[in-house]
Amino acid sequence: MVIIVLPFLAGLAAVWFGMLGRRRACVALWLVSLAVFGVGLRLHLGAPLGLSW
Amino acid sequence: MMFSANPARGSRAVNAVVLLGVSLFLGLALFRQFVQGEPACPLCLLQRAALVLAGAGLLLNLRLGPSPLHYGMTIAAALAGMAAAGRQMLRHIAPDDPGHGALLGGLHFYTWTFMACAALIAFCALMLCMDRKWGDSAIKRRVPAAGAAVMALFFLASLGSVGGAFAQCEGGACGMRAVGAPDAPGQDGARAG
Repeated sequence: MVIIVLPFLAGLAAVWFGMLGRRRACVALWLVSLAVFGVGLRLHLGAPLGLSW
Repeated sequence: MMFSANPARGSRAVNAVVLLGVSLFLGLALFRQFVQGEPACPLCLLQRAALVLAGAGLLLNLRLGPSPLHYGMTIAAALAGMAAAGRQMLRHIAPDDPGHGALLGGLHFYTWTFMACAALIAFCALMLCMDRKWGDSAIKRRVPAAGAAVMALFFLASLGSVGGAFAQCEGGACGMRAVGAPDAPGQDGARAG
């Protein structure tokens, strides 16, 4: 659950700081969010395709 | 240089329009989840997260002025979104596989997401060619009311996406133990929709 929800929370915080004009905080949280996203996506990329046996 | 005469207004207006489109797209995804009752699979949630991250770059363009860094953020997030959407498309590529969820305009929502991410990348590439960097600084610019409204709408869409992820995960539909199982109920398998 955490790996799915965490990118949203970090992304939301990044958007909030972006709205405030605090770019450094926004970009840092954006990077964190993208990294967690990558971990979450990696778990799915290894799953078998519909054509796999 | 298309926007060199008035770099602040034209470029930021275009970014605001695209950000509005991203917000509406996220809103549509939430509408399908909460109003139409279509369950959001883990890959669908990841695609939404990618759109939120892509929108963050556009939002920075709107708030601080256009910068290659901001466009780069949008491109990277859109590529991540394309990877997630493309993975889901491949997952349902087998003949007789109904795919996940109801069709929208003859296509599944993840196909629309794939195309939206591709369009975002094309947009950023175009803007990087035409748009002139007008100060790659973190100095805040004054945002007109319409721009502020778009930013607020995007924030609400992002907040709704967090709620959507929590709502989906509450039922255990995004647990990682079953991620590798293509047909597990509640995953992005064909039986989930």
